[in-house]
Parts: sequence; C-alpha cells; structure tokens
Amino acid sequence: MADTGTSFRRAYQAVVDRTPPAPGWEAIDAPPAPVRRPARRPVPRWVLAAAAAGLLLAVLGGGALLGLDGDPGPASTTPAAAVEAPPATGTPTPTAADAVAADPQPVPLAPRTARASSELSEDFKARYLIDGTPRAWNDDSLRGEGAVLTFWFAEPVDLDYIVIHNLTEPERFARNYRIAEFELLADGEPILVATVPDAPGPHPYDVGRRATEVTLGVLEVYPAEAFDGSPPFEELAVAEVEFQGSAPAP
Amino acid sequence: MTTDEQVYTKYKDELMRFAAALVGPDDAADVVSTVVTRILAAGRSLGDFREPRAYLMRAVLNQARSHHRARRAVPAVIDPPLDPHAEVRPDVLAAVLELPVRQRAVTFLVYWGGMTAPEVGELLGAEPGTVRRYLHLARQKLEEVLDG
Repeated sequence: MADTGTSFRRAYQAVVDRTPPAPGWEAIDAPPAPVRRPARRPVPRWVLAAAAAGLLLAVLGGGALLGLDGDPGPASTTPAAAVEAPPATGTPTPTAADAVAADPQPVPLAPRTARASSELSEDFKARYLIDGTPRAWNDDSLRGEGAVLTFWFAEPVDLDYIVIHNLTEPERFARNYRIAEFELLADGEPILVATVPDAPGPHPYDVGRRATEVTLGVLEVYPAEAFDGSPPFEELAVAEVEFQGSAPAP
Repeated sequence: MTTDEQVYTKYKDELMRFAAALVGPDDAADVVSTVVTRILAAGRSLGDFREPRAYLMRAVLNQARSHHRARRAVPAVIDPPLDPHAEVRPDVLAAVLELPVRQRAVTFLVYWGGMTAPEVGELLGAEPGTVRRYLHLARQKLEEVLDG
C-alpha cells in the first residue's frame, strides 16, 4: 500500500493535470461591479425612532428568549479541524513537515477597544461588536456608506481568524443592511478583501497576521429589505466581530 | 503591460493550481478571477502588496472557503483518470476532495508543492504547528480510506 504522502501527491497530480489554463488578463480586468446601494430616499425621523425602539425591544426580548432557550449568543466558529488536537500516530512521515508538534489552540482574543465610524445611538455602540452578547452595532442610518470598524488589542496578537457575525433573528437580519464585502487591514496594511455571504450568523475568514490594530472597511453592502410588511431600516448592522488566535510568547 | 498584469501573469498558474486543488478544476478560474477582480474593484493594485504571492494565495483560500459555503450541497467533482494504468485511486481522490479546505490547502502545498510546514505557514499566515496539525488530520482521514 502506498504511503499517505504518495497518495496525496498522486491525487493532487490528478487534479493539477485537469486544471485548465488560467484566465487571461483581459478576462480579469473587467470593470468592477457597481456598489449595490440603492438610491437614498428620505425617511421621517419618527420612523427611525420607532425602528430604534423596536430594535431595542427586539434585543431585550430576544435576549430574554435566548436566555430561556439556553442560546449562548454568537458562537465560536473556529473550524473543527483547528479545535481538536488529535494524538500523534506512528505513521511514517514522508517529509519533515509531517512531524506533529504540540501547538497552542486558537483562542478567542478580546480587543481592548472597538470604534466605529458612526453609531446609531447608545443602544447600538461599537462596543457591542466585542461584548459576546446578541446586542449589535448599527451605523448612524448611513446604509453602510463609508463604514469603518477599528479594533485595538492591548498587545500584538497573532490573528488566525476573524469571524463576522451577522444578526441571527430573521426579521432584524433582513431589515438591516448587511456587509457584503470588506477589506481588512492589520496595523494599516491591507491583508484581506473578502465577500460575506448574505446569511445570518457567523462567517469566518483566515487572517494569519500579527497585529495590534485591526481595521475593517466596508466596501459593499446588501440592501435592507421589508419583512412581513415592516419597512427596511436604514442601518448597517453587525452583531459581533470575533477574533481567534494567540498572544505571542513574550 | 501594467504592474497589475505583470503580477497576475507571474502568479496566475500557481494560483490556478492552488484553486483547482481547493475547489476542483471546473471552478478554479472563477475563484481566481473573483479574487483578482475584487482586489482591483476595491481600488487596490496587485503591486500594492509587500508580498503579493502570499496575499493572493490567502485570498484564494478565503474565496475557496466562501465557494464551499455557497455550494455546500454540491462538492467539487473530478472525474477519475481515464488512463487505466494511472495510480490514482478514485476513492483516494474522493477522500482528498472531501477534506476541509484548510487541510486540503496545506496538504497540497506540502505534498504537491514540496513546501515545508514553516514555508506553508509563512505563505498562508499560519503557525508551523497549525500547518502540521492540519497535515496530521488530513493524513488520518486518508489513512482511513487506504486502510479500508
């Protein structure tokens, strides 16, 4: 029987053998898609106030319900593969890289501070992005326009993943704007541009960078929608931004 | 030729192979195109990055994960080799394709790309120990197939 390394190589060779040529530059250099932001229309202040009050009630009510149901809130989404450290086996190792070493598990990293380019009110502050509760951040009725979230850690951390948590409650999810695409900067250097699926709950992204300051710039949003006859809100909403990784050894 | 085009031309084949290993040959071009187009649409130039290869490889890995999330019900399919003398077992190929994306990425770079764990870690922004752990998990799964 072939060893696992040889089997991997053969399997990947089969994949590579069937890989078509890369797209030409002409195919890549297409005009960028327009930002999906509908035209702004005026909204009476009383609607915003009612919406904010409704959201607050939903948060409080939802929190109570979640408490009754035992829902832990935004879940840790470290991939299972990264969570479990299995025991080493005696399998022969085809390369030195195969030696299984003890490795610290990625752990939740708590930023010291979170700041947003705007906030709807005291009930939707940026700090709710990192508080581990169902409370959410909302921008100040800007539909995500120019939204930037910045997080500071007390000391440099090795970030493995960032997890963007969309709202989970269907009505709140639908009636708010959601992040569709974002750029991530670590200590001011761009490290990631990624798409967020338009779905409730957590969405993890590999980061793999040491940083003290992490900036998330919103590039594109999904539009808010009416839900069961209730009108859409004007706010971009994010329930939580979770960081996983480790603090560097001193 | 622009800087963007130069950078793309330099890395496109490697990106395609990497993407094919992650999502299958049929969708690899979509993944690579999406990654590069998105970077350009964000107003970035491929020449902006200090380490464009590492940035692009990580971007492909992230896009592959999004791809899998979007098409969870439709796993990548690669026909087994037509050559009857080929040494690739369809069950092994299927097992490789069922690995989680990160494990697939790491095993591809180590076993096909000939990189070491620290090199893979540097490329994908992971600790060498994490790379080794993914290798170990992937090997365990493949051994189950081979031993079965």
